[in-house]
Amino acid sequence: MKRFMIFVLVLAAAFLTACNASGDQAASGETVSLLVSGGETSQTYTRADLEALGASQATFNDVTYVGVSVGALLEDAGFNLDEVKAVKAVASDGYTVNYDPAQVLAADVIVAYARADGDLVDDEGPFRMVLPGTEGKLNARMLVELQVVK
Amino acid sequence: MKLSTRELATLAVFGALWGLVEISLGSVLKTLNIPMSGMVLSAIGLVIALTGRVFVPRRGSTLFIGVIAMLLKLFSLGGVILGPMVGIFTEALVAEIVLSLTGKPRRGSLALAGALGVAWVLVQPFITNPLLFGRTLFTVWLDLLDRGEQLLGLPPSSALWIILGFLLIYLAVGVAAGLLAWSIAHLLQKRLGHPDPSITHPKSQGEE
Repeated sequence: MKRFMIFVLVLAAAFLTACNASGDQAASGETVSLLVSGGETSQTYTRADLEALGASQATFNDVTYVGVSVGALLEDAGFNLDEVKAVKAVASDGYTVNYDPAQVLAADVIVAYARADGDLVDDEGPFRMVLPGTEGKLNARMLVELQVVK
Repeated sequence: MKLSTRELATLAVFGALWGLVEISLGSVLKTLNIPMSGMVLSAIGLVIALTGRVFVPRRGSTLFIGVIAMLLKLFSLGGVILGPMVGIFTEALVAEIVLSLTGKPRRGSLALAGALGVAWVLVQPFITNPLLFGRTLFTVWLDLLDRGEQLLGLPPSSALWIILGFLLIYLAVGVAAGLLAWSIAHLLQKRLGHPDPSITHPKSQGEE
């Protein structure tokens, strides 16, 4: 029984270490650009590119973020917003979430590249979705790609 | 349903156990973005709730355990999370309905309750997301297809296989949860000097 418990503890430790390693890799900032894609359209944005598109503010969980509205970003990438059926956010850790156009194209929904008081923290960056007033799982962190479903 | 103080205390213990798993392991699994964390939590929760049902084989006891767990979820590290709270309640409700319909808790009825309770985790987003979070069924469907692609390696065009694959996994895990609950209850009752759960509580069902 004692051996079994030690085996389980070692296994759990290895599992948690693996999860942590994955998180560190994601947070290390290897990917510093955001890909906006859909159909034949594909556009890559750096933080400077996003800053040039605008600096809207949105608040989630009492933190104010600065970023560009999703609508403005998609239009800049060449998408006709009327044709958008859904938008999928892809995070560097593999997490994905799909949004309705009505939800994600609202004026207060942004792709954040900074907090109002500084940079995004390690486990948020390089970019994150901010949908004020929605549940946590819709506010994808470590955003690396937006896929447009037309 | 009139429960004795001993029965209430027993249900409270099982409910608290489920609630503690939800607010501790649940927060960890969600934070680490572990795949199928909902299924894992549901299976663990139902093992606890179904074990409790064997200890207090009264109509409504599984739901009672679920309500206590749901209330404890209010104290979750991530704050009040409506989705998981509704999830806990509905999983307990599904298990309760199955056990109320099948009568006295038996190995088979616990397995069925576990299977349907865990499988409910697949269905729940299609109801709660539109109702609670204003999402459309289409985006919830897309989320499911994405998960199928990530976890089962199937392209979104194989929607039917994704559904069948997930359903099979969830039902199998649920059956295992039910059987495990039966074994745990059996073992616990033996160790506690209680009579065999498979032959006790002759007046416990349907008295209401």
